[in-house]
Amino acid sequence: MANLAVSPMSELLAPAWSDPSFTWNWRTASHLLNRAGFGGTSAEIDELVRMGPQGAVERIVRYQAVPDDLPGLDFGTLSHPAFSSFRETRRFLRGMTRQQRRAYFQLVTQAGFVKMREMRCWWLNRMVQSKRPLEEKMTLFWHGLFVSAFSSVHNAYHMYMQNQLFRRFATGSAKVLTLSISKDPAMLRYLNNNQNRRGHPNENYARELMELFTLGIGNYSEEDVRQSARAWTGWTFLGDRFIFRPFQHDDGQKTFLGRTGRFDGDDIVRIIYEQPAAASHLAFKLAAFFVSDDPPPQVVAALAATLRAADWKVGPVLEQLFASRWFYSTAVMRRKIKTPIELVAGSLRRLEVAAPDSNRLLQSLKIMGQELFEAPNVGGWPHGRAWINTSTLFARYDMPAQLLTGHPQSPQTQQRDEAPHASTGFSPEMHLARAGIATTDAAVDYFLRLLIQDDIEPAKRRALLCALDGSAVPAGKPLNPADSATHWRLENLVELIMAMPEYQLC
Amino acid sequence: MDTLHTRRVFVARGLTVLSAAATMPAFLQRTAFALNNPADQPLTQTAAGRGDERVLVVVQLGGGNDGLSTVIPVDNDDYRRARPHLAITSKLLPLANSLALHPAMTGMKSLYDAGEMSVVLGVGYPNPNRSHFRSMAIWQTGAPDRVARHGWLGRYFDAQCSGADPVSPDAAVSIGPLSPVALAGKKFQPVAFQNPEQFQWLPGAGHDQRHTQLREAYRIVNGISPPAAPCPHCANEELDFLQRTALDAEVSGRDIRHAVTHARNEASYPASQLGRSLSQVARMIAAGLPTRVYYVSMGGFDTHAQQQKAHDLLMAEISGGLTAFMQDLKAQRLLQKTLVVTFSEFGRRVAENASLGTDHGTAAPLFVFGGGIRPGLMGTQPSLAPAHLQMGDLRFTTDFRSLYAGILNKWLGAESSKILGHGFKPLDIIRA
Repeated sequence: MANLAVSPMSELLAPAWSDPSFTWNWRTASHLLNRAGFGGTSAEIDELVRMGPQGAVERIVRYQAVPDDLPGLDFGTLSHPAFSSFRETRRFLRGMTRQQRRAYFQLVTQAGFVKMREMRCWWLNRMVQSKRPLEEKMTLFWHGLFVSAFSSVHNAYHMYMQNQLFRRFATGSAKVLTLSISKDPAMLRYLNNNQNRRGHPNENYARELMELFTLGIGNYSEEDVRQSARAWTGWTFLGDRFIFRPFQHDDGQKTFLGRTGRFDGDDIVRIIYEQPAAASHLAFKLAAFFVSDDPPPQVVAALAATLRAADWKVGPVLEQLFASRWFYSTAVMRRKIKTPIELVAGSLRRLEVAAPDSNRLLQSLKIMGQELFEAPNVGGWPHGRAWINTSTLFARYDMPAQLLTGHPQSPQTQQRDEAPHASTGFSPEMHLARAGIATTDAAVDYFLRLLIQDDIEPAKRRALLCALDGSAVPAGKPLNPADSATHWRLENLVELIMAMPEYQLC
Repeated sequence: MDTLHTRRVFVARGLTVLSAAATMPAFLQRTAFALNNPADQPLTQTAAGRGDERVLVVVQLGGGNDGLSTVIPVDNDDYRRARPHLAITSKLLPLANSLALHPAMTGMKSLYDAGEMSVVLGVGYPNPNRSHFRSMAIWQTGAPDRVARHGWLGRYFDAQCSGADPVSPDAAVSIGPLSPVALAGKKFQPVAFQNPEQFQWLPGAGHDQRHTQLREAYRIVNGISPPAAPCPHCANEELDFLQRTALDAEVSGRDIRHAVTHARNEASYPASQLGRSLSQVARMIAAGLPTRVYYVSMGGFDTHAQQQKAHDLLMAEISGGLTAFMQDLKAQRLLQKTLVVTFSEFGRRVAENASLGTDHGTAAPLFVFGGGIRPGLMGTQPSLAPAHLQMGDLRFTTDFRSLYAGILNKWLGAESSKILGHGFKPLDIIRA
């Protein structure tokens, strides 16, 4: 693949297949699945290879053709009025003593925590199982851009509603989504717009909307924050629904980004999306999220033009990105540090293991720094090298043992139970039998190809083979399924590959 | 691969690496050497890490500690009126100026009397933010007016290195799963660990022989043993960065596990989380690690309801842990080189709430400990008179950045204005 250091912009975003040296193969198809989704099983990668690059990109981006067969999360089973309507909650509380109410709220709080745990597993499982991986990846993108956190929202159902909103708009219009998120109960609560009233404006939403969500710092003034905060007054929620309270709304004249009128929230969103910065801000975010932490300015400008031409629909931009020479260039491929979610969901997906309903896994994601529905702040999650420190690296390296065996070795007990393994269902034998692999050296190559999809230093491959062979000299012996050691050796091999720096990249 | 062979390979290879070491930071050369060649171990101890180099220990109290139940106004009618149920009025441990310590802080009272503790009063910042997260970020970054990505100590470490090499990561050690933003610099990244035993790769392992083999393979695939050969066709900066972190983790992990298991404590610590963390820090200081900043944290201070019992226990935990730590340092003659500072993201509302608790507030006192400090009370206690409050909260009298400036200038020997900006008069916390 061409070195793009000196390529003009038009070439960076030209379709990769217009370059005669481009090859569509296991590596490039895996790359597409890694970045547009959460990695692929070997069957998925093979299928994309067969489809050719153009067909593969279309399949990924225009996923509406693929049926979604995964269930939503059922809140009905939670027989608590707090999760239905506000009116019912009020009726429920009427006639209670103060103590009873307190006990009730404690119950609701607890139920919320339980539900959030369930929801994190549910979403993780969607990332692992979905046949529309881009839908989940974009849902995660929006979640990291239009941030709300459960610890401030205190309502699991509202977090769920917001998550479904992101999913509905996954590749849709950023502008319409911005308007919808401005009416979203979780967001209204998270950025305190429910406390934004005429005469007592709360500027939190007005500010973050421009600073972080749409324009970026430097593209508006403090006065624009104050004026638009007035436009957002009276936008609040009741129960699970957005409501507009006219008597709390400041209907006066505002001057915002050079325009003057009796603006309300709709006008603010419209005016924001008239700013050139809106397109480049989102284009930058998309390119950084999917391709490279530091996208070249000329690429951002071209993507911004696509966004505007597509009336703020994100799908066409993604299609352009995933087809581009830039996307498949050596400067991009295998140069991005996986987010903890990409690491965990991707591992489960590639190894064909269902997301375990496991507190430990959620805890380990938290230690790695990415707890779903709990971004560290309104600025969202960090990216790139910020994910890595000595503590998170070991958390990343120790995660596979949890996934594959359900219990990592504890330092006190150097012995793992040789008893039947926990129920994560990882079966290296299934993988190898399906691929017709019968020797240790072929097994090493199989898992390297599945998990890393790149050449590694020969010394490293040799070390992996030694570990699998259980000898100081790499032999490449026949795998003996009758030997009870074969299973744990294969498990250890996979754990080792996943504890490689190469596996932290995609 | 036996050790001798490994060492031989490394030394041969290592010298090649050294001679072409344009990209390998000096601390990595040292650590790589020591790791593979125990005879070279003294190389890992930088000159700066030995002997009299000063150490700072930051103790973070998460959740917003109620300052008015920690350093208590004595015979203050405003206090009693604001806290009809929560005011603490008996068994107080008097300090000076009609202020007293919480009754459970007997250990700290003796530190105060011995001139090893000072209390900085009314610490806060303008336009106080009452969000836990935001206010914690403000304290850690020293930047109330903007969202900063780097912390005040991270910027200090950034400023310490002149060339392209970052300061060695073990210059700062954070005990806990997350690396606080306070320690994160643009170039500098600290070492973070939660449990020294888990500060290593823990494969699901079977019997010991296999374990050894796995470990050797782990070191090879992570480029630790022997260091990865230059591989021009696979040049990948991210990969290099990850390999460096893996090497840091391996080296500091080994040093830290060694320090924590081999160095001694000469005081007995309470069996609390803070006590455990501080006893580990004491051992690491005693072992002479090159670490200049240790960061420990303790939570549970967000006492919105039924505050009293919980807060009493927290006060006992702080006092017990820090008193044992100070005794330990003193017994090991480490007190003169150590400075301890506590902080919390905010204090709590002056008036108690309807649930026998207190809500998020603003300014609060904090504690400074050490052999080289200026003891006693520093700064001014904010007035509790309703007319002087700001939305029911105390007005700060000392900007926390003045405290930071004092620590940076007078303890760490840095130029604080370069790290915090201008306008913060360094607080005179260190005895000249």
